[in-house]
Amino acid sequence: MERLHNKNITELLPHRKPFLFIDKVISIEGKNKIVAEKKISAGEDYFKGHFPGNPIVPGVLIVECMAQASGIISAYNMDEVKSIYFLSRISDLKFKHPVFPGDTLIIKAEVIGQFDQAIKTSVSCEVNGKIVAEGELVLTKKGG
Amino acid sequence: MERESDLELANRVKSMIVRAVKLKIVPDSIENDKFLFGGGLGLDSIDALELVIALEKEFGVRIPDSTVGKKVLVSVKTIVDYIKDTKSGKTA
Repeated sequence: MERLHNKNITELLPHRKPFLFIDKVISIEGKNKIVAEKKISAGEDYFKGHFPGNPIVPGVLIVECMAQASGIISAYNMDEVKSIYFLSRISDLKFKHPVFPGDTLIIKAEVIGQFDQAIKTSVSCEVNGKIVAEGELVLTKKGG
Repeated sequence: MERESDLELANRVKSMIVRAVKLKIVPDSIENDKFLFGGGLGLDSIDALELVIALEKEFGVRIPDSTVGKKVLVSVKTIVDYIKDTKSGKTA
């Protein structure tokens, strides 16, 4: 399979704006690990409400970043690209620090188990080398 | 001794199941022949993945594919048999 970091992100994920939460793939290690990036623009519409005068990236969107990175590596692990994976389980997720407009998220996902159509990943998000969120996700291939 | 060993293994498997899928029951309440999925304990396909991961982590036993998994992840008894067969070299 071709190197993923040379591909446009829309070739790797079925998501589209305004719900595309990966800008680019930085690296892939083996068939199990991915590092991706998402820059948080100060102009994101959700900052108007979360929260007025005190903009913070909603935790659920950080989860979505990690889920989309997991989706890319899951499809790659299964020798497919752009399959649709549904987020099926969130385990032991911790939010350690808030994320602000202008931050760049470094998103890491590693496949730690796979059975039938389900894949489990260990995930984390970092900003400036500091972990802001980490946990485990399970994704299930559509139709699985 | 063989029977005690099987009992101990079954108890470890029950504890693994409760821990892996976060069941709110005591391990001893799971009967050896009770179906784990569907109308038995009610586990689902995501729980199956958790069991596959836990089996490898806690017993060093790998389930190579879903065909084997569907035969092994039936009950405590089938899991115990698979662990024993794998450890003794009867199962690839």
